[in-house]
Amino acid sequence: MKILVIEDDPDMREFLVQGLGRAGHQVETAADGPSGLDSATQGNCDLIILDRMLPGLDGISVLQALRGTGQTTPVLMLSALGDVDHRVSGLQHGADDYLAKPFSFVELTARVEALHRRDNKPTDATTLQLADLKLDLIAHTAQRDSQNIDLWPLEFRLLEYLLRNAGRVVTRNMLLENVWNLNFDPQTNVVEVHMSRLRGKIDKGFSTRLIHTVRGSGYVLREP
Amino acid sequence: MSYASPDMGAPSPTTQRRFWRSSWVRITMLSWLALWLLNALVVIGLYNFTLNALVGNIANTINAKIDKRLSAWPRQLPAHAGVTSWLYRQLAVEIADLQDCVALFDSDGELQLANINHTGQPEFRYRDFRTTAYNGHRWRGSDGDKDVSTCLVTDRVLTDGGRLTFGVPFDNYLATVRQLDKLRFWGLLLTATFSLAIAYLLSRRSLRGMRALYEVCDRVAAGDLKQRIPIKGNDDDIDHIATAINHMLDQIEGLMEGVREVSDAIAHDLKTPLARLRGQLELLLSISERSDEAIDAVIAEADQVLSAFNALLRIAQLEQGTRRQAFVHFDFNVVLQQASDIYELVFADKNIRFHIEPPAQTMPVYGDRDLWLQAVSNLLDNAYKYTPEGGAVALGLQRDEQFVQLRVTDSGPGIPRSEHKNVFKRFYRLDKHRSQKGTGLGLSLVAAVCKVHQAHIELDNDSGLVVLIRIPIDKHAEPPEIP
Repeated sequence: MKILVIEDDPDMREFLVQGLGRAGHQVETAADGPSGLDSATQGNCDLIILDRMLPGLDGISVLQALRGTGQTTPVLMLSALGDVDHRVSGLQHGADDYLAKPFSFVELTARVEALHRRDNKPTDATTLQLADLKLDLIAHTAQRDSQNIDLWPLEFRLLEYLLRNAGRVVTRNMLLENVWNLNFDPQTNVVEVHMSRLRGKIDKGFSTRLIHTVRGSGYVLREP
Repeated sequence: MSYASPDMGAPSPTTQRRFWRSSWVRITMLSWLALWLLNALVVIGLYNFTLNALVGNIANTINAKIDKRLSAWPRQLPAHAGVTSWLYRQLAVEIADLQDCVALFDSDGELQLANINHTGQPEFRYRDFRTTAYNGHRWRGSDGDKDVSTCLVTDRVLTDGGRLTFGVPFDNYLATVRQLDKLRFWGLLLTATFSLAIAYLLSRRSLRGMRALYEVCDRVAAGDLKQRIPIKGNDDDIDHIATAINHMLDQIEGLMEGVREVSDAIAHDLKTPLARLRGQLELLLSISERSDEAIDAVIAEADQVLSAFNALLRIAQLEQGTRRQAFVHFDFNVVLQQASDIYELVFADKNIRFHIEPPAQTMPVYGDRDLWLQAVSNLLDNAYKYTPEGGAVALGLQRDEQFVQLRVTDSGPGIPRSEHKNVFKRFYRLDKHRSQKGTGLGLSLVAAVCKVHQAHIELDNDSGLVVLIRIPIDKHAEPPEIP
């Protein structure tokens, strides 16, 4: 996918170009607000990674200007200001996701993938399915291999999120933000505990495992 | 503790304030000037009143005498023909024996006759009357001393253009008038001096009080936060201001103390993991083969430092009180529900019984929901860490007229009473828990959240630790928000 990186710090920019390039993306760059806005309004990229603090025109203004032209390209905002307020204001101004610096690269690529996917395929399906795992969003039931699986509401939400991002890595932070609606990291192993329980219900007793742990970064739901 | 800066000895601008620039001095001086003017009015009024009473009668007598003398002039003569010469003829006969004082001038201003010195400056004037020296013979004593030396006279222009200056002896009164003049002069001068002196002293006094304020402020500005303004104890304005400033200084000193503690703590608690991080990186350099595990450990160490930084920034932000814009009216039960979503399985996983009292009624609170969730999470996180397997943790809400009371209890070892105050300090950790994972900032953040919401937090020991938080109830609760 074509990604526009608007970032003023040369080291950070280089890091993003290298990493995203290695992940198979084409990367364009801009070093300040006005030139970033120029490139963004051309409209030939699939995703924009936008730093919050930029010389010339700050990230929020770029975002507002961009959304003002009717552009809906997904925007992932990066910022050293990781606070809840900044996150909320970034999202309110039209960012699709917000990531605080410093971040791990896995976190960034996972979010990039998730955003791209969301953009491509706005699902209003009433069922989600992967292999023999089926989730009925209306009846709130889950089945694997035609056996009903008893899920707690939270486990249901967790599984739904994993299914919507099937095949992609989802990180611990993405789960906290999207399943628990948390804007901070509770220092407990809340994600691990829930995942291991979900795993016990989904994978235990079946020959193929669907939930896989990605070492050091998160989880992925996929067929082996 | 000293925050001395290099220019501490130099005189600062405020102590050199000019005496007259002080509004206290100006106000005191102006009010005393106004009082003195009032006083001067009274003195002058009394003077004039007395003078009128004293000299007014004599003036009337003089006018009556002149009128009487002129009325004797035969009216059948033409008006211009010789009233002056007529008077001259009369007075020339009388003058040697005249009891009154007189001078007569013709229409050309030539002196015709006089028993007074008609030139020279009068010592005293009253309306169109003036004093003049007597030089006639009538009142001359045998030894040549005059019994009469001064007359009070007035001028009357005659119909033919002549002028009659006429009066009566005034010596008896002159002494009194001189006394009165003296009284007026000294009265004004003394009250002026006296009131000025009092105004000056009062100004000095209030200025001294003010100066004490300036001086302490200057010394504080120069870095000596220990300075306090002495309270004189007479409960005046200056004492009130001084008390307020001292209170403010106490607060600032407390904050500075806090900042110092935090910087010490940062130096110690953040340097340690950073030092470990550096060591691990050096170690990595020395191994020839790449070890993912070692790299993961380094990243985890860096994350630990980052999360401490985030917590610190968050606390700092809370203490600036900038979060109030995110305040909403909400039901605290919502926070308990969210906390239960996070922790129920976590506790179950460690075989800890986690009990949340089911909500009996709404718990209206005005505040930041996210912050409260984080505070409750931090408390539950601690409970999780310190409660042994097989223990119990409970979360409950109660309300009365004034407060919503949140209660978190665990069956861990609790915190010794002597440490209850300290555990809210940043980076403070009980010695026996130093080895535990954590930033030492959890309870500081809870305390900061409480402060932002004017909530009160206290610790207690029961079968484990009990944390009680009393949050002011939202009296203007809108219909409870349903999430």
